[in-house]
Amino acid sequence: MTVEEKMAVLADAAKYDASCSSSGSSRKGGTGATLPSGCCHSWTPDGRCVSLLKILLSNVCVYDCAYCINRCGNDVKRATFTVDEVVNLTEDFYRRNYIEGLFLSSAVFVSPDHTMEQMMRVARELREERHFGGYIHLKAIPGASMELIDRAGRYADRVSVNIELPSAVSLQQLAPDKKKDDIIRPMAYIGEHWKQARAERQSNRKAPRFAPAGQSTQMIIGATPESDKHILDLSQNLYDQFSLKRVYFSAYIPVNTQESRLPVLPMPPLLREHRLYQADWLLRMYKFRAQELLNEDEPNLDPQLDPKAGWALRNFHHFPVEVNAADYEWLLRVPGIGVLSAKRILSARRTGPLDFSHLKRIGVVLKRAQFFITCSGRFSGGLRSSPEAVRQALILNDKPSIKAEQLQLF
Amino acid sequence: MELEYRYDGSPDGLLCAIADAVRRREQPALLAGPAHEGLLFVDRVHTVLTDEARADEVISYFQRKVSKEAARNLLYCLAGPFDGMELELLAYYRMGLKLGKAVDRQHADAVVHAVHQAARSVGHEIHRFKGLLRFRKLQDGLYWAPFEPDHDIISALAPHFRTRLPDQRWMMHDLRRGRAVVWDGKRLYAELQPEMLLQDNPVADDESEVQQLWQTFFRSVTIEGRKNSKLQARCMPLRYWRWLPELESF
Repeated sequence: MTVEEKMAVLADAAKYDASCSSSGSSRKGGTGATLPSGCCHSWTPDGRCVSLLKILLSNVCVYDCAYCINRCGNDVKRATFTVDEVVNLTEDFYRRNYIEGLFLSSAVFVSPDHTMEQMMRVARELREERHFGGYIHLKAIPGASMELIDRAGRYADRVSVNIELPSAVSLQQLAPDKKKDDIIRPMAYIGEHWKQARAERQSNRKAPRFAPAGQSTQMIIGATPESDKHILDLSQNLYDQFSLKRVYFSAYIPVNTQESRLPVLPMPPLLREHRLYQADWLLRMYKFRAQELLNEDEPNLDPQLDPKAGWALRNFHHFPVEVNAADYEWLLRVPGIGVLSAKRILSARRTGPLDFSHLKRIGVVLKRAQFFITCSGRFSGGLRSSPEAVRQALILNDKPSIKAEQLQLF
Repeated sequence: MELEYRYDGSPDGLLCAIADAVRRREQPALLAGPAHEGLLFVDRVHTVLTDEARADEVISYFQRKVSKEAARNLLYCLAGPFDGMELELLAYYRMGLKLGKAVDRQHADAVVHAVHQAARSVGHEIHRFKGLLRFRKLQDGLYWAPFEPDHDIISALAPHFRTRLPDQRWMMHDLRRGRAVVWDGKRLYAELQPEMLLQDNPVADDESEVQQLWQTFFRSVTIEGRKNSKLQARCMPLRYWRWLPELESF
């Protein structure tokens, strides 16, 4: 099989991994460097960005997970890259500025340890032989030994373990070969080591790095019956306990249509995925807790409204917020005010009181914020008496750009 | 008294005009390049002499007195279409000298806002091309990166690739302005005759093979079920596609 044929198979097989981020690490020296902000190099026709060379090392799999295109029961073309092939591809692409680095994952071939060892060798070869300074993201293979994961973390910028499905029951049902413990254990291990290595580097600049960009994970949304509340609570726990950087959600796309354990969906639940990402943002950047966003009575996010606006309407008695007096935390809670505009408001209002035209320049999205703020006691005409009236106005003003809106027709 | 300032339309000319206005403590009613038809009633016209060294001095003075960030904002504005915002840049310069580095915190001020907006669109394009620039390997080992940016960003972009690709010879080539920057492994310099380096220097033998692999990767990693061409075109405007090997077949 030529490298090109392998590329077609193994890039195709890797495409359902959502993460493509190259951020959070700053590395210099040799060929290549990383940017702390990350960098997108291209966008595919599905609108997703290409930042890393995202491929599988192999799609030969000993497991039989129901949702996965590469499961051993499927009749698909199989291929395996050699270590050298991946290393050369990465370097050739990097030198032409096609990519920011490598994102290597793999199906489990021979055994978890064997797979992990091969992947670790790719990273080692790139760093030690080629002096590659670009971004490397390795997937940790569930069931691989901690020692191998440890070595992988020395060379990679990010190591991640996919949690796959939002609950142990679903995992048991759809991925019987993967144990919950095999997923949680390396996560805990990586989280612990990442913290340790970071602390050591603060006192000693020469201390070895361990996955400086931290770890992330991914779960499939819509293949199993878990509610949004369940998913967000789980994400919150992952952030709290394992210091995860990101939880990725991947709208379930039916790849194994013969599979009776999986639901039949007319379209991937892209809008649900979008709302979950918005809620995830609130957890990570806006100091919200999952428990504030959803509760037992309302276990799912409102598809028509972004989760922050949803929260504000449920807590309507806290509003309006006075822009010239409120502290940072409260500014952040106003729909239409983001992290950047909240910070700008703080520094701009030191010079004098702000009015609505100032807010517009600062970058506040007034079509949302107008219902929730006052400037020196004044409203901008956006005042409504009831949350329901505001809700109607918000929905009218705000159509999400995602085409999956059509989903609601079904 | 209506005062008119005339400069030659170049970034350096504008910097010298700003310096003149500040030194003479004058506020012109019009500060414009040669294309502008001028004011209807003018009492006096001052013609600015463009001096490259003096322009550099103006920027470094501004950086010392105000901040790196403010000097960068000014430079970014000058890399974009600054025609028509000369008086705002003058006002920003004056505000900077008065307020020091606090000038960039005045997010609610109209002048600061306009300057930030203009600087941001240039900064945005610089960031974009950190990702979208594509090098092609030529026969003699030189990596050539042709591109056609909206703004004059080549000198702001080059240091990024110096840190990133220090061990290969490369040339960035702004085809729209005919400007080029070369990294020869030791030194970064403006190449005045980029065509000379391209003469009798076709692409390397393995170049089309690597491009082919990249195209295969790009095709394979696309999820058909999530197709969203509008989103793709918004993130990566069509005018940039010409020099991207992965989009040649689209």
